[in-house]
Amino acid sequence: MSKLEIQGLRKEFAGRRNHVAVNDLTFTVDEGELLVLLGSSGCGKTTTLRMVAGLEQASAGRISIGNKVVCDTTRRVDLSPNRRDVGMVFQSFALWPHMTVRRNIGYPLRARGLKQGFKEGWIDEAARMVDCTELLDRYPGQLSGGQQQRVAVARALVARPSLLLFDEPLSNLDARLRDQLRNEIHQLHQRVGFTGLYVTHDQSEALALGDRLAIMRAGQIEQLGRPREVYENPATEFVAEFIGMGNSISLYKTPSGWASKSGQLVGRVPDVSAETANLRVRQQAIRLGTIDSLAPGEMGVEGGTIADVEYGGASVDVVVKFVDGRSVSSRIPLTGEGEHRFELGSRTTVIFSARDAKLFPTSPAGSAGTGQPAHNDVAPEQKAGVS
Amino acid sequence: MVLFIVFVGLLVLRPIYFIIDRSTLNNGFTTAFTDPFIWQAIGTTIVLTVGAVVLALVVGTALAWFSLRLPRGLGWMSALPVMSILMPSVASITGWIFLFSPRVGFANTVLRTLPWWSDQTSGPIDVYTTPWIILCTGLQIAAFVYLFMSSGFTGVNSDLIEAAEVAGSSKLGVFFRVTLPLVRPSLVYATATAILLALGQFTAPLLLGRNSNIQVLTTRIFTYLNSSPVDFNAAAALGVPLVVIGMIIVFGQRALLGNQSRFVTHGGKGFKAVGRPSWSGVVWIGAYALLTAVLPLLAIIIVAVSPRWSADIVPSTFTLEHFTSALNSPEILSSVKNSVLFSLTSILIVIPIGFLCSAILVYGRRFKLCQIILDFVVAMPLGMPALIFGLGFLLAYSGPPINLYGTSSVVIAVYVTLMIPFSVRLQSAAMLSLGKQYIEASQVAGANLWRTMLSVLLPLMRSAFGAAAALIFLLLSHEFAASMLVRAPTTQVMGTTLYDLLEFGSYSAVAVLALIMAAVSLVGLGLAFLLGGRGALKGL
Ligand SMILES: Nc1ncnc2c1ncn2[C@@H]1O[C@H](COP(=O)(O)OP(=O)(O)OP(=O)(O)O)[C@@H](O)[C@H]1O
Ligand SMILES: [Mg+2]
Repeated sequence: MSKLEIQGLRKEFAGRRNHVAVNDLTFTVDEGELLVLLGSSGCGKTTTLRMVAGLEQASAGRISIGNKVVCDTTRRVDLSPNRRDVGMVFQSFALWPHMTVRRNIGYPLRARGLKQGFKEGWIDEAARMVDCTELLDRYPGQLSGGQQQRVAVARALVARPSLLLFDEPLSNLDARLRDQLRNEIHQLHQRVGFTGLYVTHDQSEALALGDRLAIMRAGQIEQLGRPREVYENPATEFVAEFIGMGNSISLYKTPSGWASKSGQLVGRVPDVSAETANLRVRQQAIRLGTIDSLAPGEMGVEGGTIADVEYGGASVDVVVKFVDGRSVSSRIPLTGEGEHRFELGSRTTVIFSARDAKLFPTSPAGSAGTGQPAHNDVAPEQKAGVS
Repeated sequence: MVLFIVFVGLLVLRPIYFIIDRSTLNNGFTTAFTDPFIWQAIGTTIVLTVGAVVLALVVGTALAWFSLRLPRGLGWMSALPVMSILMPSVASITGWIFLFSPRVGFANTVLRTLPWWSDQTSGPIDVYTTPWIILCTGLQIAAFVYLFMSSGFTGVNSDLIEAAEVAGSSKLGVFFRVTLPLVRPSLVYATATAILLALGQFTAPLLLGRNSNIQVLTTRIFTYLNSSPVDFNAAAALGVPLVVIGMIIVFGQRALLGNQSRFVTHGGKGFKAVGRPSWSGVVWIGAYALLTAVLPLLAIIIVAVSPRWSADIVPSTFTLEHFTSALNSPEILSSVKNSVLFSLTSILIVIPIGFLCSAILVYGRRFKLCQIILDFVVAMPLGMPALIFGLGFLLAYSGPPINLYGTSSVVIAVYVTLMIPFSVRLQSAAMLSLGKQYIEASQVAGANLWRTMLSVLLPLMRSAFGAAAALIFLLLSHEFAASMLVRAPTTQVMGTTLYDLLEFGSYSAVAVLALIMAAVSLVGLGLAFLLGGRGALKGL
């Protein structure tokens, strides 16, 4: 296991317009760490991973695994995949259909000439790790999707490579199996402590598995940090939205303070140097009520109408629509006793703790706004101007 | 890899270079193009090409369309048009001679029993005329059009057709406005192939046209090479237009279709038969199979077992004597042996060549330039008549520095060159459908190029090898045009021997040899399927 370092990595695809898929990426995965690349479809995650594996040629940049520089465009170094000492789990499993599971798992040992591995029974050990010892003599065609994926993980692990790469390994499986395998990969990482780069577009997978996680957008890293850090302190509005702060309330500045076109704003908003800004709140942080029930440290937006109520078992999702056409969705837990009543069309106020909200300037007041949050928290107490 | 591309390039381009080079020597062009018959030959070539292409496109497309709407239980009939490809072209033309030759053709005899023609002693059909040469060529090419078009129709999403029908278009309107545009790639490809095949058509004009002195460019090339003294320069000069047209078509096809990957993969969704099954399809497909395969085969069999070919069929006199004498004839035996030997050797050479070419074309993204060159070189032999390659090899390898004339190597070299496109096409299609994931998984697992090829790619390609071998064996055991040019007394193959026997008038022996040819190719096909598994069938 060794460290992965990536510097200034860039990939352009020649095409009608030269398309930049990965744009100047720089990050490090420490020894024994599992870094998750999270991003929406087409943001360049797979391309990054394939460049690390050597399956795609970098347009610029430098990649080193351990002490070995495997790619450096300025020095024209570009090792082929078989000389990079990595293991990879493909989205489509890619188990060779003409080999038994045992031969599939043993292939990296044969290919790398690791006789020692055969002697010491690495194949069986790898199979045991992913719990597929009984499958060793079957062919991939005789396995279920989950079993195939386990074998694929064993095949990637068996030769004890310096680095393990995962390209959305769970996205071809159904939801229940996905949770189970996610769990197993997590335990495996706890036990073996491999260095890994894991690509996914699934938020919960990323939060659960990553020692750290990197949110990618259009070929660049938007934020890199521990899952909790990213979850609680999204660096940009994009990250906030991606990580679950789906509700956005747009604000603008008046001489007397912040106001919203959605409805009357109650509560204190910090003074940010911007003309307009978006307030981001998680669904779960919102409750519905009347302005009188506002507790200290809370803020609210008046004047919404309940537009939709969706039952979800342990909770209900209520969509509140405002006069400017924006809507806010709130997830309200059903606690059994106090029965919630949400009548379609009735007026309500959206209430949330100021600590749970993040403010992101959308237009600069002079300086170029980069979507950085104004302060860590929206300061409570001060009452905002009423428009 | 560069060496390999140079090797393939030399194999393909050197003969073509020699044709162009030779044509400029010693007034080749002047001799060839001031000849009084040349314009007539060019005219015939054009008439024959246009006629045959139109006929082939209409018949082939119609059959393909009908084959998708065959009534339940008659689906097997969709394989019938392809059966005519299994018949060697020389053999089916021989069959047509037996059927439609004006005096003693069996079909003519039957027709003369009808009231309209009862007063005639010959005719009403004369197979030795231009319209019948067109018909014969056109129907043979229709089988290829059928192949391309039916795979094209199969790839069309039938929802689109149904949508148009629901929107109120008439059946015919839907066919011309929706279906045909959707199969444009197949149509373009089929048209180009039909033009090339018709332009290079040699067998029918030679066999049917020689009695009435109907000449086309290819047969004139043959005449120049068999006159004394042999006029290589004039023959080469006549070959030049065919080379040029071939190049234009290969380029044009590349431009129209983009690279071949695009249309290899467009299959997939199954075509649901649209509308009600149609019985007219059964009639048309049946008639086609009857005319191109069943009747010729019957005629050949009858001639083979009759004491001699005559207008009357007398079952009581049927005999096997021609078979026994054929099996004792050294020239027939050696031609069969040569055909099999040359075909098998060529397969052993051309499959690995095709494998490497396909691997570079499919996986060699890092070598863009090599891919472009190779793609073009590999398509070349398909663009030019086989006869041209025969001529090119004759010119290139029967004089210093390399003299191979009369050896089996030159026949094998021609065969290999001619088969490169087929070998590459089938294998690259198979590689494309495999996708790159298996290869990448092997690379990442630490395998070098050779191990990846041997342990992953080769085993996965087994059925593609079988399919390629089957198709190539089929085509080579039928090979006629190129063999006619490079043959020597020691390197006669089945097709060339059949021609000699026909010239000689030994019709019974011709019939027997035609049957042997058909049998040999069937055996070869069967073997390839055994080795390649059931998947081999799909490649055809
Ligand atoms: N071979 C290629 N040629 C041209 N463009 C490509 C190629 N491969 C990827 N791209 C483009 O590069 C961009 C990044 O692709 P990539 O596959 O890395 O996305 P991704 O983040 O993995 O998305 P997903 O979550 O959908 O897998 C996309 O816009 C894609 O269209
Ligand atoms: Mg991807």
